Amino acid sequence: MYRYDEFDRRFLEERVAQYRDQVRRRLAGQLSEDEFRPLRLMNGLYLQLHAYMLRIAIPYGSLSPAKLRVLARIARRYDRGYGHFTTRQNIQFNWIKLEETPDILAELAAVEMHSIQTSGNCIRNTTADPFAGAADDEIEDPRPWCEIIRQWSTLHPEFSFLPRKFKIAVSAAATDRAAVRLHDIGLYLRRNAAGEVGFEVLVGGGLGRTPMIAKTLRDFLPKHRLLAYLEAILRVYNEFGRRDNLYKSRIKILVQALGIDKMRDAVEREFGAMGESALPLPPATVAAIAAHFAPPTLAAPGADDETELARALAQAPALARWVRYNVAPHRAAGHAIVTVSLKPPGRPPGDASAAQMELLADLAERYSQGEIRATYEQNLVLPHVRRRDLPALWRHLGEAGLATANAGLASDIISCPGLDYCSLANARSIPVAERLSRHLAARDQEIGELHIKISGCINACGHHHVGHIGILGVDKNGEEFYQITIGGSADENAALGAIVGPAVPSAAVTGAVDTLIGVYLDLRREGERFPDTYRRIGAAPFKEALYAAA
Amino acid sequence: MPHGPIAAASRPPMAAVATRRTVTGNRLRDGVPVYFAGAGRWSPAVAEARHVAEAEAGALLAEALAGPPPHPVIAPYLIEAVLRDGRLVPLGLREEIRAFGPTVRPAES
Ligand code: HEM
Ligand code: SF4
Repeated sequence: MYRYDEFDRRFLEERVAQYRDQVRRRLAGQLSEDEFRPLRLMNGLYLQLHAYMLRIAIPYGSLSPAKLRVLARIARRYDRGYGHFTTRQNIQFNWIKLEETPDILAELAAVEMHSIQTSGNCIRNTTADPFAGAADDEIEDPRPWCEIIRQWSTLHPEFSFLPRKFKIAVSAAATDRAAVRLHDIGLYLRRNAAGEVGFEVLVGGGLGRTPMIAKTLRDFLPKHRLLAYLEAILRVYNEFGRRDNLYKSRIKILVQALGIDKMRDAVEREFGAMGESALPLPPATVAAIAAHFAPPTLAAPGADDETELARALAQAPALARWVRYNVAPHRAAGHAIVTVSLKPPGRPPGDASAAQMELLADLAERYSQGEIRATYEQNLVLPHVRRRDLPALWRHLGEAGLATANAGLASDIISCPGLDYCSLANARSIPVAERLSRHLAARDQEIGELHIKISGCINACGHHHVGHIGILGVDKNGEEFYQITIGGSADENAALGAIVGPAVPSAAVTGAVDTLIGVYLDLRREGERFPDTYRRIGAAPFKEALYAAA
Repeated sequence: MPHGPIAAASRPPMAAVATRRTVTGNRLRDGVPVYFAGAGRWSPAVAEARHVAEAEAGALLAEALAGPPPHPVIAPYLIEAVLRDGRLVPLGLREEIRAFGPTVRPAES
């Protein structure tokens, strides 16, 4: 994991001291709320319905045990004993007191964490494949590039007041586990015909009110030109992105207005004008950063590892089921990537208690080379587990309610906080997710892979547009209604879902989802996932089933 | 399904019940929703809120806003509420949830 240098450390300490003074002045009445709000937002502090909410960046979703323990400590000491992992690989605490935030930020700084650039019109936390450095289908570890982007984008003076927030995601794998195409800039590490590794650069993805899938700006960018090219894109956006209308200010709207070809011309012109030597990334610099992400030394598997595991699987069907869904292949022989589901049926998606976080920190040390990852699907990952250890790990997880065998299945639902916490919400999200996961859990295996995503308003923090089944809360004369979309997808074949028909009342959501799943189960062909069936048969059978009965 | 006070409050108000006005906001030091109880006092309990008829709402808000900085409450505002069985219940799901907390049980700690 990347370690801060002296400069980073000093900067964070000074920043905490500065913020402490700002809070003091606010509480003393020397700063008005209008003066203070931008200052607290610059430190990730929002005001929600019941309290302040602190959003803490987890750079590219990577956590060490020490960091996770501090998050647990914050949950226990300053919050109500839990935190919420979000679709941006961040964590949010919902019950924060303003007067305690300077101490919280100081505790975070001690483990090289902060909340800077988790709000506002700047470049936000860069997200990445949570299986980075472990996946068997990746070209190289994308995290050094995320770290390079982090260093470049943190406190970048030119890009601190963009027209709107800006999100970047990076993946180097064949399977997109980072929702790259839904970001302002998406980066895929690719190998070209000559065998060199570079970036495919995509631009203009985003959800919210006007959802769009990113388009390819450049098929292949040599790696050492990454920062110059990003800078060129940001400059074009900074100059031409709209500042007159909040709803049209994201880069996706600029790309839509210009068209991808004109956008490309503008970026290439800027890029060309910067010259070959702009923002150089000499191999030595890249290598020094990459050294922080050196792969762990993994022991060669023992001769009887697989027979031992097979015996355990045969004895415990629940373990076998968990291994089937929550364990993914690792690039190193005898090892595996474990997804720790934060989606027990009937509970709020993405929440983890302090005790669970502490246990995971311990288990990561014992079983996963001290690494933990957060996923945009609101789960956690232990990326380097020896296969032989899977049964023991599963037992420990199970004791803390962390062994739900549903990764990628119907009850593994993404949900934003919705009206239970969020001041922008139109309707609740979590109770809908709870009812659905409780209802669907028993049928997870029969249904297979299915991504249900729920947002409490059009801002789409819960990614509903790209759910296989998406659910959006709307307010109809003070009543909670939910608009349902189908056929969306967030992976390498990203697609936006289509609205199936009029919104349904809260009490009808579970039944409606059941009906849609029923159509899929009836009509799917061997190996088809929900969006595959939808693409083949279209929306009509789903609409008929849903609205004909009514 | 909605439960507890939420279930009761998300029912549309009966026309016969006169709506009351009360002042709320989030407390500066910890963000907790509080209600103006009169005489410079703010309470986290909506039951302690002072409530008035619509005609007196402006005066109530002015009284709630008065005082030297720092005001203990961020951006106080008027809301509608009704008396149900003698108990003051804010109208609208958003204010209901602010008053009575999330409708979901958080993770065990
Ligand atoms: C205080 C709570 C929150 C506020 C005020 C907030 C605000 C917003 C707004 C205004 C947008 C729309 C941006 C646009 O269309 O330009 C948005 C989008 C988004 N937010 Fe949130 N959000 C909150 C909580 C969350 C949470 C809990 C998550 C993760 C679970 C999240 C992740 C996202 C994502 C992924 C998007 C859509 C992607 C995009 O930027 O296009 N936000 N948020
Ligand atoms: S989608 Fe809407 S309700 Fe949900 S967290 Fe985002 S802003 Fe809040």
